[in-house]
Amino acid sequence: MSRAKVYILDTHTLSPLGLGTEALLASLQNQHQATAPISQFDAAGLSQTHACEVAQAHLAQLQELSEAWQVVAANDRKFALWASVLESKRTALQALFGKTSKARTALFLGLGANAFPVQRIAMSVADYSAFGLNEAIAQLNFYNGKKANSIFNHADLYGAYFAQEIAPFGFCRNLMTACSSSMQAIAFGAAHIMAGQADLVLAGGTDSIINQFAYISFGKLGVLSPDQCKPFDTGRNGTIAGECAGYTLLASEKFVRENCLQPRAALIGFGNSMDAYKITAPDPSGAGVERALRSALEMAQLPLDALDYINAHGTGTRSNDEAELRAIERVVGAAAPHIAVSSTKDRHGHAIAAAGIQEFHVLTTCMANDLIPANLSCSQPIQSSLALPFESNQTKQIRYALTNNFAFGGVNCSLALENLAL
Amino acid sequence: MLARITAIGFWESTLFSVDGSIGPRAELLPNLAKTQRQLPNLDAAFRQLGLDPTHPNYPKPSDLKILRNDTIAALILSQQMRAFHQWDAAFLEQGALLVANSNFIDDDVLDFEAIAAAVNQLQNAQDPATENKLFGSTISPLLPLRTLTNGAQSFIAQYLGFHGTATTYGSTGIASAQALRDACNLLQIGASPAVLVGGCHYANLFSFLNNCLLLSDTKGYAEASAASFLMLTPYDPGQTGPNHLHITQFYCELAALEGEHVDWLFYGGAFTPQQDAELQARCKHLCYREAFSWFAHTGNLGAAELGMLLAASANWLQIGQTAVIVLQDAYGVVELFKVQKA
Repeated sequence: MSRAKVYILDTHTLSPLGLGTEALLASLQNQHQATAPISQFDAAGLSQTHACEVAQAHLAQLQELSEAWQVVAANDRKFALWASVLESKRTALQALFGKTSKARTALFLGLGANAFPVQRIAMSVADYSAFGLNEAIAQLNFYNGKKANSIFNHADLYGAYFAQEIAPFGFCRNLMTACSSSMQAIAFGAAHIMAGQADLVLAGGTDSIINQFAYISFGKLGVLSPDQCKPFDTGRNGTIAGECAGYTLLASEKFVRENCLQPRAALIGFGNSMDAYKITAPDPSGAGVERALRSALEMAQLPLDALDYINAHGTGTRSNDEAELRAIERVVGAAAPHIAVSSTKDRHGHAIAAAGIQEFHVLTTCMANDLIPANLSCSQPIQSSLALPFESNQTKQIRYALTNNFAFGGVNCSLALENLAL
Repeated sequence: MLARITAIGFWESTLFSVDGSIGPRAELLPNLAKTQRQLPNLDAAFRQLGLDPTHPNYPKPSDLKILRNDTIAALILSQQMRAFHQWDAAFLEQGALLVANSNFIDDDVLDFEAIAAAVNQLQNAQDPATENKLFGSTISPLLPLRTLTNGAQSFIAQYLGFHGTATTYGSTGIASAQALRDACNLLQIGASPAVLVGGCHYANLFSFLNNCLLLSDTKGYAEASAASFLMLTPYDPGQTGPNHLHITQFYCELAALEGEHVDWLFYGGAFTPQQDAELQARCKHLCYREAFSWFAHTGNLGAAELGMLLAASANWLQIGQTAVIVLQDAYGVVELFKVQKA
């Protein structure tokens, strides 16, 4: 059994904490929390009127796109974020993808479900009042000019955009496991390199649930906090919605060597598991989470006491946080007091399918800068033997770290990273 | 050899098998589904699955509230395959589950009448707070779960007892081929001892809306709801079994088939007869003796098409014969690989 090492060349995100690594680092260091009143629709009367949104200024490059893509972006926020983050690194991406044959490249994308742009449909029903609703939607969906619909599109669209506008690639995967989507995309992208099927993989994703339809739906599920997202706090009462698009560039040893690159981090293990418990709730025992963590550590061949930091899923919901902490405690055992654990969702919100790439970027940024982000909003912590930093960030070298994401339906994913600069 | 397919099952309208048996090609019936007007100037024929609520493997009533029809079919089929192939709990617990879905929205969710009512209410609302309240009253609390993209994966894991690696691929017919390729990767790096690869598809207006406007000509548009599964294990030259296939090679584009000689071409992903013919023509680089597509018999099978094509391969290839499988998505992107009858 041979496993190739997977190198992390670069990670780039557009999130409520800014565009790119420098902005993200400054935001983490300044302990900025991006929660603010929602600007994308009027949330008056809803139980939660705040969210963590990407600043509109970062979407300015969309105006450079063809009209057809602009129409898609206007109706699909996650596409707008995806196109924006790619456009901001277009030249660098094209140069990198030009360094190897198309057949040795791949995209692994974690994507959210289609959202219904209800207000847009409502306006169009008036425009197409001579038709029935089906016809109105069909008319609205059609845009003559590109191989893309205006509203409802397959997940394949995001890869198609990359191929048409950025660079051709060998293969694309669209992983759609809700909140674990983009973390699984990174894991499966790594597996692709480990199996010797590719030398360069762009893995990441995009999602936003900050729209009227999704916000009301998620609100009804009771997962959004009516006030503040407080991961690992005994008084936690829900998460805060966020949005993000981004990617990490994973490479084989061959690609790194041939291009004389000096990556600062490597992905050394991943673990996936299913709760197989209930679709509506995670297994309260955390057994599935435990299996994912153990699998990641086993693949990484890491001794438990080598682990420095875990960027937790930590949603701030009643059902997640305690089960996650207990699972980590069981896995790391006596090493618990030496392992820092924190969630940064109270800073950037929960980006659902893009949570994985967002928190992966947080982790790689922290690893490169000896930064342990604090659990800022936690004032009455759940009792734990783990080292949960509060109030302010800490300075500590991170050589080995994990990042976790879990999803509705009981999907668990954990990634193990190594800091190659230490 | 990259991996071995040891079991195939499928369900499409009148076609159902837990052991992959199809019967002779000559006995396959043409698609008799009625073409109906879906939108102005746009017609389509849909074939649906006959779900029987009295079936012993029918899901629990408490789960039905959040189950799509394609997921129900996938649940019944996968449970029957487990019984037929005698997959034990330990085998499934360690195995991986990779499921492709090509439509996450069923008719009960995309209830256009209900949306129309909601839209009317929005237009009558005096202020945003009233609008949100009115709109909220039309949305079921179960909607996010009913449209959960990994719904099929999660229910199958729950009903069959998968605790290992699992994920969902979307959202066109090539998604299942993507799953197959990743399954080979998981086997190759030793991350899983076996992988159940599945696909399910719900043919309805939402799928039609996603696909039909991408076509230059929709004449003869046809889709079928379906589910299919296949069990993949590492290549083992000593293993034997009826209708086993070896996956021998993946390709990244049709041009890579230049100079390849195989016995059969199995292709799929078309939505119209014209597209079906064009797809076969796109495989001109490949030298083959016979070609087969399900389109004339069923219409487009979405993410379930891969299993159906592999079932045909397993039935009609002679031992040692080879075939190339080609799947195309709505954007014209293809996934392709070669198999050999074990």
